[in-house]
Amino acid sequence: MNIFKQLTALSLLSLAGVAISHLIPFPFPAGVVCMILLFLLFCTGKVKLSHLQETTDFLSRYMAILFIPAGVGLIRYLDLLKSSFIPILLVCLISTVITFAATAYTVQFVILLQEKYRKGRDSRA
Amino acid sequence: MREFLLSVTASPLFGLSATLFAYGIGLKLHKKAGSPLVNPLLIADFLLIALLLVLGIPYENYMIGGAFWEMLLVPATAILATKIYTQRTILKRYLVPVLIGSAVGALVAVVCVWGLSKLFGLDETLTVSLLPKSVTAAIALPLSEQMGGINSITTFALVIAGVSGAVFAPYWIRWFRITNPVASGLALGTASHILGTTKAIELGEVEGALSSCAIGIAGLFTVFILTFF
Repeated sequence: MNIFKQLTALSLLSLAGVAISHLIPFPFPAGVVCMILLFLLFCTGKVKLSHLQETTDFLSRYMAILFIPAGVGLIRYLDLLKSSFIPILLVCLISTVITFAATAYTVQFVILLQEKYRKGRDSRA
Repeated sequence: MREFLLSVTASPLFGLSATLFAYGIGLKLHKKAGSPLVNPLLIADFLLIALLLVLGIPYENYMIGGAFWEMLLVPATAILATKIYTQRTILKRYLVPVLIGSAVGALVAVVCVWGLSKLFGLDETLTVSLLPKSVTAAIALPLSEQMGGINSITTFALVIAGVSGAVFAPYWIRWFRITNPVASGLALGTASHILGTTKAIELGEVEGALSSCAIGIAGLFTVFILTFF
């Protein structure tokens, strides 16, 4: 698809996501609805990765630009940031390390269990 | 002169182009420094805040154009699906560890932030602003808003989580003796979102693939955890 069609498709998909997220009885981000929709579309084979290539490449490469305005909003909270800077920094750093370790250990443990289970099954067979 | 400045910056084109320009400088400095500590997003935000403060331009004027970029968060989240779909072969192979790992990671991240915030005496608004800090900004910002958080504080927290992962990941892998590349890749994406993934890609092919899957999958789990929290 050419860029024009890609942009049209992606904005219509986004609009559909917004519509669906309004129909869901609890708050649910529209973008996440779109993510699930697009994944299902890929799985059906109706939409191919190559159909959206240029647009997705551009958006993933420069995605950080979309978060700049939210960061500029800090201008309204400079006092809050100044007074709570150290606790915020510590909460973020410590929880990131713990999240990393917990995830990595869980994955290693599950893989180990799977291997044991498979070995057990093979030796019985 | 003041009136001229106020009416020019009230045009959507001001926020639109100032964001592009500041990000361009951020990217350039990041490339030159070659370190994740010099984060393009952080530089761009710093430059724009300085510009608004020095020239006395109201934040509301900037946001008329800035809102354009924020609007693109929805399609940007949608395309996370392409990252998961691209990795479907490796994902199928490690489906069980990936699902359990991201679910546990997402839960630990939320519980940890909540507990630590209580410990350090942060108020309710700050706590909910920090809760989604390990998932990609495209998912974290709307989540923070939904819970009554300040999405500017969330952005700041996201950068800390991302940059720390990108800088310290090699040390963490050694400290915690993580030997399996599947484990370190998934953990980096779950703890430090896209910035962790950038590092994971450097570490190896398996690490990069699982890390980019983790962004979308752990993000999805976080949405469910925080919606019913």
